[in-house]
Amino acid sequence: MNNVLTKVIVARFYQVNAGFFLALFLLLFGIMSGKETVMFHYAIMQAIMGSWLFLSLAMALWMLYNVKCISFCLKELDRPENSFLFNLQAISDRQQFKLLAACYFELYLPVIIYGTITLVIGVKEAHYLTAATFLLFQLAMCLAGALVCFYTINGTWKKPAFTLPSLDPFPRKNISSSLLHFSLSQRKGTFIAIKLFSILLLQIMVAANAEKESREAVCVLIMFLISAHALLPMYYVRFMEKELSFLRNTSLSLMRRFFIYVLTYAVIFIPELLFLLWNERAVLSLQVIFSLYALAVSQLSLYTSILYIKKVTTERYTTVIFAIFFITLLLLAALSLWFVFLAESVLAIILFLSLYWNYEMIEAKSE
Amino acid sequence: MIQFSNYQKYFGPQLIVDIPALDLAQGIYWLKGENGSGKTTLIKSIAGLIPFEGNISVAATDIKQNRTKYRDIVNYAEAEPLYPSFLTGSDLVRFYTKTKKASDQQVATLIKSFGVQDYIDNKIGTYSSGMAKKLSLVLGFIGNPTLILLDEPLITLDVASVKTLQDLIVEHYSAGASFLVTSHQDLLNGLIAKMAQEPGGNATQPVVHQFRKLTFTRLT
Repeated sequence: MNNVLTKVIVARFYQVNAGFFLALFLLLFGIMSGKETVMFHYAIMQAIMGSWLFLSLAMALWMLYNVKCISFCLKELDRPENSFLFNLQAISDRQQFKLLAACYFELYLPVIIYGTITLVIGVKEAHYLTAATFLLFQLAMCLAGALVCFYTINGTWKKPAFTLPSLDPFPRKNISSSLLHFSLSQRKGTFIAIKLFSILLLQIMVAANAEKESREAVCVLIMFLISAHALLPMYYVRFMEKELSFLRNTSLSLMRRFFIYVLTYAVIFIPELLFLLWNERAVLSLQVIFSLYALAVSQLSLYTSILYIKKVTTERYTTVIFAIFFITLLLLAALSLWFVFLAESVLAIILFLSLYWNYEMIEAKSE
Repeated sequence: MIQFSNYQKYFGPQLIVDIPALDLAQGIYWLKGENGSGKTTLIKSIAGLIPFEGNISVAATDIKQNRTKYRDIVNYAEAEPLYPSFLTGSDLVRFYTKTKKASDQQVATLIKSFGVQDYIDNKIGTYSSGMAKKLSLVLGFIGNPTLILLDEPLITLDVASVKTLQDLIVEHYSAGASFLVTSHQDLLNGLIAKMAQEPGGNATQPVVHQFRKLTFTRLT
C-alpha cells in the first residue's frame, strides 16, 4: 500500500514540481560560492532561531509550502484514475493514518531537512523556546497534511462543507469565449488563486519600488507573474482537445483556433494591465506598460503552442517553461520589450500552425 | 440485504434519484433505466463514492456508521475503469489484496480465470480498454464481498471473459453474495439460463421495483 501511495502521490509531486525545486535550489544554493552559501544559510538559520519576527516569516513561507503540498494531494485524490484509493477506507484508522503520515512526511521532506539543521543550530545556541515552537510548528504542519488526506479519503460520501459557486456571469456562450467560461466555472478555484497571486506580486512591486522602477526588476517580476499563469494553457489545451474536440471537425481556420487562445490571454491579463495603469503611470511609461501586457499575452500563447508538441507531458512542459523563463530574461536584458514580444508571437504562430493537425492527446491517459 | 431509507440524489436543484424506502433481499438484481436516469449515480452512492441524502446500508452496515466494515463487504467495478498509467496491474492487485484482506490464492485464481496474468506486470498505460476492464473485474471480485456492484461489466469485454464473468457471478451468488448489475440483456439472459442449470436452481418470476426512471429487476 505504501508503495502505491508513494508512486501515486509522492513521486508525482516531485515530478510535477521538478522545475519549482530546480529553480528554488538554484536560487538558494547556486548563486554564491560554496563557502558563501554555507555562511548565508547559517546566518538565515541563526536569524530564524534568534528572532521571533524571522521565525514568523519562515513559518509563513513553510505554511505556503504546506498549502502547496495539501492542494496537490487533494487534486490527486480527486482525479478519476486515483479513485481506487477509496479502498483505503477498508483498513483501520490507525493503519491508514500511519500510511498517510509517512506519505505526507515525504512530501514535506525538503522543509524537514532544512528545518532540522535550523533546529540543531537553535538548540546549540540555546534558543530553546524558539526551537520548541519551531519543532511544534513542523509537527503541526505534517499532522495537518496527513489529516486533510485522511478526511478526504474517508469522506467520499460526505457533502463538501463549502463549494465555490460558478463565477461565470454570462448566460450566452460562444466558442471564442469558451476558455473564459471554462476558467470561471470548471477551474474557478485555480483561476482565482492565480489572479490573486499575480496581483499580490504587482502590489509587492509597487510597495518595493515606490520611487523609481528598475527595468530589470520589473521584467523579472513580470516573468514570475507570467510563469504563475503557466498552468492555465495546460488546462486550456486539455479542455479544447478533450471537451471541445469536436471543433477539429469544423471548418474553423487555424488562425481562428489560435486566436481563441490569444483572445483569452488578452482578457485574463486585463486586471494586471489596469493595475499597472492605475498604480505605475508615474514610474513606467505607457509604452512600457502596454509592451509588458503584450509580452504576457504572447508568452502564454507560446506556452500554448509548445503544448501542441508531441509527447509534451506536465514534467516536460515545466522544464520548457523554466528554460523559456531564463531565455526571455536574457533576451530582455539585451533587446527591447516589443522585439521580444514580436519574436515570441511569430514563434508561437509558426509552432501552432505546424503542430496543430499532428497533435494527438496523450495526457488524458498519462496525466 | 441492501436497505435504502429516504435516499435522494440531487444534481444542482434537480432530483435525479429518489428511493424513499426499499429493502432488497439477497439476489442478483438488474438495474435498468434510460440514459440519465441515475444508474451509475445510484451505484456510486451504494459504493460510498459520492455524497447523497438519506441512508444506505448493506447487510445492516451503514457506510456513515461503519466505514471499514462497509468497504470490506461492498465491491465495485466501474463501467469505464481509469487507473494511473504509471502503475502496473500487480501494484493495484497487491493494493486491493491488502485492503480487502484477501488471500493470495483467491487473487491468483481470479487473475488466471480472466487471463490477466500475461500482462499484469506491465504498466496500465500500455493496456487496451478491454485489458483494463478485465483488470477492473478482477479487482471487483477480490476479498469476501457481500455485495458486488457491476456497472456495465460487458463493455469492451471479449466473449471468453463474458463466460468467465457469468461463472463468477453464479459462484459468488451461490456462496451468499448479491449483485447489482447495469448491463445489456445478453449478460442477464446468459445468467438466467446458467442459474436454471444449477442444482436446485430455477429462474424465478422476476420481482420488479420501480423508482422514478429506475427499475430493479430481481433475476434470482
